[in-house]
Amino acid sequence: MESTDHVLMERWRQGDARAFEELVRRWEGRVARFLAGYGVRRDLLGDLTQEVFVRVLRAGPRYEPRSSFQAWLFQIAVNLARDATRRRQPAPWPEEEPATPREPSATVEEAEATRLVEQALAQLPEPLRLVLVLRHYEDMSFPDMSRLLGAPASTLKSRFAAALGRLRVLLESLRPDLEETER
Amino acid sequence: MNCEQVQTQLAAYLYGDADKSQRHTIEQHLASCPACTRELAELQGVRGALNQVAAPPVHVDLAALYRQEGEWQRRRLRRWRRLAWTLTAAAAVLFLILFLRVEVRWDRGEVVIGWNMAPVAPPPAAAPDLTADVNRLRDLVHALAANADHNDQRRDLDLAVLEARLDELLARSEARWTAAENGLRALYVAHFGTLTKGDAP
Repeated sequence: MESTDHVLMERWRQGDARAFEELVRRWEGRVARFLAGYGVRRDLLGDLTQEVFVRVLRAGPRYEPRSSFQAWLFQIAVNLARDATRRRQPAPWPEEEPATPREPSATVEEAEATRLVEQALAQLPEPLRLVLVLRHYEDMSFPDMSRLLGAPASTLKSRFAAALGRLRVLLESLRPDLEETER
Repeated sequence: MNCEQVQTQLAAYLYGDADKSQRHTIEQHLASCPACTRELAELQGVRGALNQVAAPPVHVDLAALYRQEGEWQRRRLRRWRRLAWTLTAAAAVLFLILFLRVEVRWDRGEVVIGWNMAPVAPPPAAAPDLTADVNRLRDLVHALAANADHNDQRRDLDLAVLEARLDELLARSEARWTAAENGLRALYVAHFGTLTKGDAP
């Protein structure tokens, strides 16, 4: 049976290094995808994801099992992502960025679709982008998000609706044939 | 619900965040509204596009992570040690100053270090010597007056010299004028024989 994040944290705090490794492997992809959606440049993703887990390692003794592990972890990720995007301006999107498949099975079209979506996300205002990424990719509930971001859940819901609407417009402007591809 | 109200809730409906009654109302509206149905389809398209984004292949290097953390802890320890040394040194200096009455001061161009020093009394404030100030002021006024007299005398002498030169020049020019007049008169007489009143020169 798979251990919960709380149990793994507890085991790690009692000295079980494998528990920490399990946590890292469980969350590294999601953290990286969140950072990518947030607007962190692809070439910085590895280092920043690594940094998130360094902070987890450092903050581990202060972890309170009362709150959700996901919210705690993403609090760290959000702070780092904000710092990173404030410090380093995102690289301009090249017109013909090499559409290298991220996985051997990924097609050129998938890579291109990913690039367009990330480009559109990057153009969203930060508060909208943050809510959209947390809700869509992390499936985070609005009450959890409210605790994480310190804003009322109703506000975050409105931001989410606005974000989705604006993303639609942006995607249409970047790729007018989006709808045909999706259908 | 009208179209505008429904469209603000389509995102929540799409992601399952609408409650049962909201869902029911929205579905009723959608059944009879092609515009809102199209809007929902477009949002579904956006959701599909977001789903197409593949998770970036990131692999956290645990060994590097532990090394990084170890290095950070060492740096932190060094910082604390430096801080502790600085605080200890500051406390020692404070002790020397307060209890051994060590004094370091700058006196007439050199550093003076002493200990067990009695507190240096501040020099008594000089009483204002008004008489001396008045005397100095008087001397200054006299000097200025003498200087003015001296300058006046020099100016008078210069003026006298200038006047003498002017008189001399006037006398010379009068003599020359008289000589020229006499010359002209002699020439006239020699030419016309006689000199009558009113004739030139």
